[in-house]
Amino acid sequence: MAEPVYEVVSPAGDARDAPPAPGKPAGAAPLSGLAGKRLGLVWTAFANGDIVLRALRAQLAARYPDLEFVEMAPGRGLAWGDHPDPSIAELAREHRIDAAIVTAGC
Amino acid sequence: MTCRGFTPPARLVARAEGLPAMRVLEYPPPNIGAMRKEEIHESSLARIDELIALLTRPLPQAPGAAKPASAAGHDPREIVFRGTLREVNERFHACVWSDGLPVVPPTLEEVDAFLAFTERAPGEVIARLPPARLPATVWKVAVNGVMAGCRPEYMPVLLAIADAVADPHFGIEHAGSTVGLTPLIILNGPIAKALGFNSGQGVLRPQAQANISVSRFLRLLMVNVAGYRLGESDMATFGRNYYPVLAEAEEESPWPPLCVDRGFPAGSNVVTVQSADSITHSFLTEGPAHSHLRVIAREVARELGGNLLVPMERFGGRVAPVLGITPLVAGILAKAGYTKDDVKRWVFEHALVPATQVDEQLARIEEGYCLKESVRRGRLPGRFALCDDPERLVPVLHEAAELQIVVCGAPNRNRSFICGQFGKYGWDTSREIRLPAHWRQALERRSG
Repeated sequence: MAEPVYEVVSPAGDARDAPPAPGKPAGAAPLSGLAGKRLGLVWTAFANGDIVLRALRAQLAARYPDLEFVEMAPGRGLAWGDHPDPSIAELAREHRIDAAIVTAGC
Repeated sequence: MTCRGFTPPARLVARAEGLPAMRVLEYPPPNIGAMRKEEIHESSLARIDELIALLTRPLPQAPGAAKPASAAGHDPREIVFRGTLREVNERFHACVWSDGLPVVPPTLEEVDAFLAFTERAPGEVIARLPPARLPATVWKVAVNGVMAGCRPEYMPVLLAIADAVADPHFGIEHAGSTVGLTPLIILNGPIAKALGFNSGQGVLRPQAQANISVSRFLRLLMVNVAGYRLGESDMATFGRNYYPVLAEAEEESPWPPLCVDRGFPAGSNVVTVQSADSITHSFLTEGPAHSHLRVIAREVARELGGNLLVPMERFGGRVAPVLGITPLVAGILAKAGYTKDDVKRWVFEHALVPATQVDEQLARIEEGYCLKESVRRGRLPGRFALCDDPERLVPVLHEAAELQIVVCGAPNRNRSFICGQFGKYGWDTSREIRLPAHWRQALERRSG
């Protein structure tokens, strides 16, 4: 006896099932240089992220004496080293940073 | 900035959030958290030119940037494969549409049988589930329910679970963290009995179809819609298998069920989903009520007084561990006059660890960080730093109400277990199960 044949549908999520999310972000334009810029340092939890960012800060400061650094919380009402929150975008604007280094998955 | 291994998930999340390319500075193995300070400085020095280039050069073109999705001609009922049971399973394994176990082929007939148990439209989008941010529709819930081996009448439970994990409060995007958390599903209400959920002997053993297949459904949904793939988006160091649904033995319990503690009326059908760390050894308690409580508090301190102190202090300011106790133990405590709140309070006040034990965990987060500093920053209440004695005893929870008690398991055994929870990484999230108007008739048709 022949084995039954099954006709099956896909279990995988399909982007076509919902309209695209509005307000897509865009990658930031590159900086013209680092001299005189404000650089956010965002530690988003996990061990040694703070040490890495401060190590990079020391290296960059030695090369660019007028580069400013902001140890920026990863969201409103949070502390440096907390888990990030979507309000990080507002904070970035308020701190008037030109770019940021964010630790993730460290 | 990532450690090697985390670059693919970082890029995947960026793409899902609409950013086809991003600037990533990658650190070599093993990982920053395991490196000494001098090694980190050395490694950073070697990367400084790359970092400057990333900040000052245009983003590289994203490889094969996806075209915007178009719904034109899209039919979720489209047959994507035809084959025997073995061929279907081989295809699904190859596509990583499975958890490694054989699946029930999701045919149109099977999926439609599930849809008969809801009034929600198949195309209804429950939410886009991160990290992949693909839409979880009622249809996809049914498809994954079929595959998991669920019965069609479980559909209202499956939808409530999907609704719960889609809530940003639950934070399904954290399920792929290195901790390897697994969701724990707790079920309350008369629906548990109606659908054959086991709340008694071996409640966490895979035997009752409802308990294990419903849990498996959630794993499949996480794989197929949230997009969790080992090493790509699921970064679990070890991970663990899904736990069967923990149904509460409400009829055997002397206390109101968990759903009432969580604000639902008695008799409600409710699912609560939350992250679970490992479920402990089922420990024995005996003697009079205070003796049971003493051992429970000791075990709570043992289980929650180690690594889990980090999420307690750091992951959102609230945790929700579960204390599972049998009807026998609950009965002994109730007979001695303890309400559920009394038990929670007693355990909170007696599950204590030396402050130095917490300080040791907190120092892992940040050099020199400790309980006193945490209290100074307003993260923990003053109770945690009443004096300078490093051996002073401190709680393992913020407050008594955080402990969730679920009465379950073999009714006449005197054992309990504890299941840790990881704060905002899978916060406890409840949803009432919405039954269709024709629920009873549909159920009778199935059983008849």
